[in-house]
Amino acid sequence: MKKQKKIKKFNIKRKTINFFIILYEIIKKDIKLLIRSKTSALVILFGPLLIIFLVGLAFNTSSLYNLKVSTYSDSYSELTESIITILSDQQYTVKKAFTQEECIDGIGLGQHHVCIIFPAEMTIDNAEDNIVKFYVDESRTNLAHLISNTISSKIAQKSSEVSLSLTQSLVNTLESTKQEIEEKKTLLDSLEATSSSSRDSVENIKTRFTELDLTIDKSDLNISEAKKEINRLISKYNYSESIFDDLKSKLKEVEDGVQGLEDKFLAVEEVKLASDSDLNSLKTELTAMIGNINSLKASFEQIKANVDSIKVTNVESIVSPIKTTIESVTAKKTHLSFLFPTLVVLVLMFISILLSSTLVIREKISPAYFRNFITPVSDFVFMFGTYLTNVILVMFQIFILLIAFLYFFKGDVFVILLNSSLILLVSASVFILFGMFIGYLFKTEETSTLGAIAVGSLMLFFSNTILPVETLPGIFRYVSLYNPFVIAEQMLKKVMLFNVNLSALSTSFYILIGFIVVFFVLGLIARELTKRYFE
Amino acid sequence: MSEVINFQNIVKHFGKNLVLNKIDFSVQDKDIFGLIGLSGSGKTTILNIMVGFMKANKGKISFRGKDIKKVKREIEKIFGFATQTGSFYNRLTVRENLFYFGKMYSIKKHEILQKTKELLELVELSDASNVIANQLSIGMRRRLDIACALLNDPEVLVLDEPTEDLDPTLRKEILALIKRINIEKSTTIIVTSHLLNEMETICNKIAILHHGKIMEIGTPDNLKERYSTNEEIHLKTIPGYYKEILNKLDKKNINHIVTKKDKIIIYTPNAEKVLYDLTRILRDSKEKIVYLDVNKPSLEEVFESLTRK
Repeated sequence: MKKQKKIKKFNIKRKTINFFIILYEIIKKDIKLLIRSKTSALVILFGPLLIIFLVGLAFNTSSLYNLKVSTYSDSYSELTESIITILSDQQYTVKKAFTQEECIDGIGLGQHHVCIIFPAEMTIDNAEDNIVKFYVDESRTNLAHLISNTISSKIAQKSSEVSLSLTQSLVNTLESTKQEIEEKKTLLDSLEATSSSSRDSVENIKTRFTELDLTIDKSDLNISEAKKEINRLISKYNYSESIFDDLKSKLKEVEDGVQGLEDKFLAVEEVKLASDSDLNSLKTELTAMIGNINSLKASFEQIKANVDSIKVTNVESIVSPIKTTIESVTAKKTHLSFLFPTLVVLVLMFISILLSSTLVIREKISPAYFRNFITPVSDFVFMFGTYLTNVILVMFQIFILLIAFLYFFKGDVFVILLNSSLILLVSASVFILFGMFIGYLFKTEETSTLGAIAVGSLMLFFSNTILPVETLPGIFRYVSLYNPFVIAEQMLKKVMLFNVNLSALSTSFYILIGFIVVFFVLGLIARELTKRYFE
Repeated sequence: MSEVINFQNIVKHFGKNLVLNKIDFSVQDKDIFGLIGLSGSGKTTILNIMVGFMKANKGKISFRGKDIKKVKREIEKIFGFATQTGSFYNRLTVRENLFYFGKMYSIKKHEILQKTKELLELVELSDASNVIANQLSIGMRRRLDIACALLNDPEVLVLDEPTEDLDPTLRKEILALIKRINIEKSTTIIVTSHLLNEMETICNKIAILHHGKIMEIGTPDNLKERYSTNEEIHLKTIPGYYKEILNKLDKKNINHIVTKKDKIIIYTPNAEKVLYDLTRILRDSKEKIVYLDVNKPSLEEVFESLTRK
């Protein structure tokens, strides 16, 4: 029993070792065959690397080069010319079209990328509605948006300058108005004070006038008593009336004088009354004036308060109260930075699918296919061996790509490299097995290559490369989200650009592993169903 | 001798095309069994079905009494197959091909090295061991294929038209090799060909295949005895006015005459009588005999007689 167990264990061990030996031989044979076909080796192994290198050099920029702009206006104003000057920097070639039609049609003819129509004599004026029209070729969607955004930002820059200037002028005017008000307010205070004083004076005058007693009580003068006394005296003492004639005439003079005074006092009284009325009117007017001055003061205060209530006096804040900037989540700046993950997955997809389908179909149409079939090695082992060969070749290329990544991104972290390698390995496995399935499905190298390219192109179309997946309708969008290319690309972007941890990508990993299993099984079935006859 | 392979009522269609029609035959241990037939008669199909590369639509194949489907793994270990066009990697060298396929049979490295040496000597390719396969001549490629088929010391060696497209010298060498393998290694050999006279020299049993049907099975002598009554008289003369000779010949004992470019072949059941007539005619004529031979009935005739039915 023990011996049987030992023998069984030994046999299992032997079988396992044999399994790995056979795998190794299959891989060795495949690589030898590939290398001995020098053209294949060059194209398959180094072609993609060359592509990445060239693309890397080409896209390692954030600029938009050689953009041709055509402009038209019925009449170019100073403002229009200044905008054109801004555009005429080293990046853009600006040409004035002779007619509007020439400007617009030139886009379709490929003479320029964008046509800008300026209104005639464009100025900043209350009556003017300054609409600048852009004409772009929407069929070149990505370029159209890039151009629109770039040129709009340039024109917005000029518009902003003008706004700032106007607003500054407004703010300055307000400021000077405020100062003027401050200055005049003092004057008003003074005026008010003076008016109040005058009113008080008038009041005093009125009071004094009122206090003025212009009544003469002749009885107080006792002239008649004096006369009576004189008459008494005359009568008493029988004086001669002529003795008292002088006195009587003096008394008469006094009486006349008092009468005259009384008459004058009456006249003064009348004047007083008239003056009182005038004084009243004056007082009223002074009161009204003070009221107006107060009202004016209040208005000035209000104006000042209103002006002061304008908290935002910074010109830039008025022109652009809400500023928007688009900040990159990453520190990368060039087109390559953003494109690199997509490029890598794109190259990886096409290499993997084409290489694996080619290797499979070559094996299928190889004379040795029959002899391999009749050897005691299962289909699974051959398929696994082919898969491993492809993985080794693709990983060699991935290794070079990641070195390129280090070069172009100047020493970014190794952790990213490790995570990226894992994602690329899993993604490569999906594409390799897909390619193998295609290879097993077709009968000739030509149809297999066509099939591989078609499949790769399909995955490319339903991805973010041409249009964002979010713009696709309903079911297509849903299906695109499960496109292995889209999944791999997004995973790689998250790791390379945003330093996301692998644990956050577990769902995507599971989906890719699911694809691996599915394509492996499909490959086995396809290999079984489409065995080539040997005749 | 025990039965190694047995085909019972095997039928094979390719679409609507009936390729094999109720094939029945058996191969004994240590036999050299020949399958003779014209191109397209189904010989290769039979071999492919035998090794499981194709599946029969009907019928049963057994290996040493067991259903071949159930002993597929065993078949793979003990069968060797040399194909018509050569089944190896054109971009590997002779040695690399042998090494690779040796590993597919899980043979240990030192054993492969030993075997490779032996086989290269056997098939006379020792000097070309490091030559890339696609640079070999046709004969060398055929020998490499045979060497690959012998790697696993097969109990049953299947050879599909092993002498096709080879010059006579090479054909002789290959046939001699086949015989040697059968004798030295006691290998059961199943060989197909449409070259009947060659099969005759090596096979101890022959099945004649025509339009997907086995017309007859038997030893060469047996078949000839049953189906061929004619002997062949091969005559070549100078100046070679064969018409005159034949005009004078008594046609009574002659079945048919084949006139070739520089000789005539007379098929007769009574070679002695015809020879007597011929020598008399030739003596009287100005013809000088270059070559005169009498062959026993051949498989070609057997084949012709069977396929004419």
